[in-house]
Amino acid sequence: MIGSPPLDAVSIAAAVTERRSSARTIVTETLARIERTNRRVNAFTDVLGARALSRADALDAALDQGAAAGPLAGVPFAVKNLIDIEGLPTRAGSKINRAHAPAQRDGALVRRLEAAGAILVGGLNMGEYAYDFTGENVHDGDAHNPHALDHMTGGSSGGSGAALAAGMVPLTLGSDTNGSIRVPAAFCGAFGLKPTYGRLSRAGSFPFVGSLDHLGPMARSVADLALAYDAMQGPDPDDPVATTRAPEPVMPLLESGIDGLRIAVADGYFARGGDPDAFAAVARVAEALGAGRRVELPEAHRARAAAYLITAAEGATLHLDRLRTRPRDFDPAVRDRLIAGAMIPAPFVERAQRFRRWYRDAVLDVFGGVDVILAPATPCRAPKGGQTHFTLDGVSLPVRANIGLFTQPISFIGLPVVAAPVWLDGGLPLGVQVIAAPWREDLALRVARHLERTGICTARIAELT
Amino acid sequence: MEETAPAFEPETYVAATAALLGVTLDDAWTTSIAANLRVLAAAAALLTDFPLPDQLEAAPRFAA
Repeated sequence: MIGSPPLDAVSIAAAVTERRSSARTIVTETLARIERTNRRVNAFTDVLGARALSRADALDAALDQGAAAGPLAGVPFAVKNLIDIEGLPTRAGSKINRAHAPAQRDGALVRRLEAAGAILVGGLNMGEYAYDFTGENVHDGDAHNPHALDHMTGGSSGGSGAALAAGMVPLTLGSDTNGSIRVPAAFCGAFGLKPTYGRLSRAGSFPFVGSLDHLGPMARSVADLALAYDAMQGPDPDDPVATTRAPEPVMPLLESGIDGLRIAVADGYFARGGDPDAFAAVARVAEALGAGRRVELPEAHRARAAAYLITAAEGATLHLDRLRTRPRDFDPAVRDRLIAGAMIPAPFVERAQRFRRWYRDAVLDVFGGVDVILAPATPCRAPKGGQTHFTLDGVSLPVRANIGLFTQPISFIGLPVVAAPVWLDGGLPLGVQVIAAPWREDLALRVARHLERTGICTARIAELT
Repeated sequence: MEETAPAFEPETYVAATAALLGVTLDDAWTTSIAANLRVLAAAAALLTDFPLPDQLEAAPRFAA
């Protein structure tokens, strides 16, 4: 089967469960595909061949003996390298961390996915310490967008998007502090879920901004997203902000359609300051959903500013000792942003946190009248690799700081979002954010599934020759 | 009569604050750090310009 089109997670799990394929065959083909394509896209920083084959053999043996198959039986997956992998230092895209002691055990979400039958095959490239929207990395080399290798993957979960678009694995994990799942999903033409803040455990991952950090799945189908998401839900005392809510499975609701849902397009801030393509993608999705209504998230530009400040200050606090002792071992661009963040007067940060409360209350009021809100994921398609500036609405702006201008006001208050890919023409994809009220991942995933079923939003595997 | 605050000079501020933080800077980094500080100061201005009631406290959890 080597060379055959990569399967999605649902199909792999069905094939392994029904014994039409062994887990070893699936993993062997996956490792071969990674071997063939990674030198082109640089998505993987670590490939766990021996471990993955051993787990596959153990799964096959258990199934031979009549064990029940988990919902992700035999599904290969890979994780952004800020998530702990037993036996490896958790580098988090940095040079400094790779001298850390190896992780003693896998991160919580890796353990949950493997408990459901999935098989970890590697760690994925990312922007240094997740302070990144580009997918570029001076230590490990840049991840390349499989749909156009000279373009950015988006970041900071760049390898997580590239591995999907290159067909290397059907499922990856990323992290999203200000957009780091949604941006690479958009640029690489994949689906990504940033759940409600606190929904999925972050235990066993390297932090960036504790009050904004989320982990979540990325995949090439909405069903794969939901399958993985369901397997990862549940309280975890090892993460201080993890919810105590019981799991709320989405898979049984996924085909419920959109009847009765009140869907609106975000206006104002989310309808300007980007390329016309970004808004055309939203318009196409809105039309397909019959979403004629427009709503405004009040003061979204200030929300973005507040997220920017909190990120800089909290991130700098986390890294201050390293900035003191090893400043030359950082990516210079990351270092200079972090040092500036360390210098922000405390009242500015406290003001941003108090504004966060105001904005949360204001946006929850908006959700009193709508169930789902649509907005662009990024202001443009993937820029060229190494590009430092782009022009938005006639204004030249730094790329690094501005790719996330539409994602930041959403994660700022922890709202669940599915980033859904849109292909307007023969060029690179764009993403649309399907945003729901807190704890309503089910609504965002249902709408995304409807868009996928009707052909409006689809993930594609790049043809790498 | 309202007092007028002195103009913000990022380069001067960077040098002084680095000493407070115990961060040793290469002179070549100052321009970039100052540029980042200007962006952060503009972000902060957007928030200080927005009135908030004194009673509004930061929420310890951010999702309802």
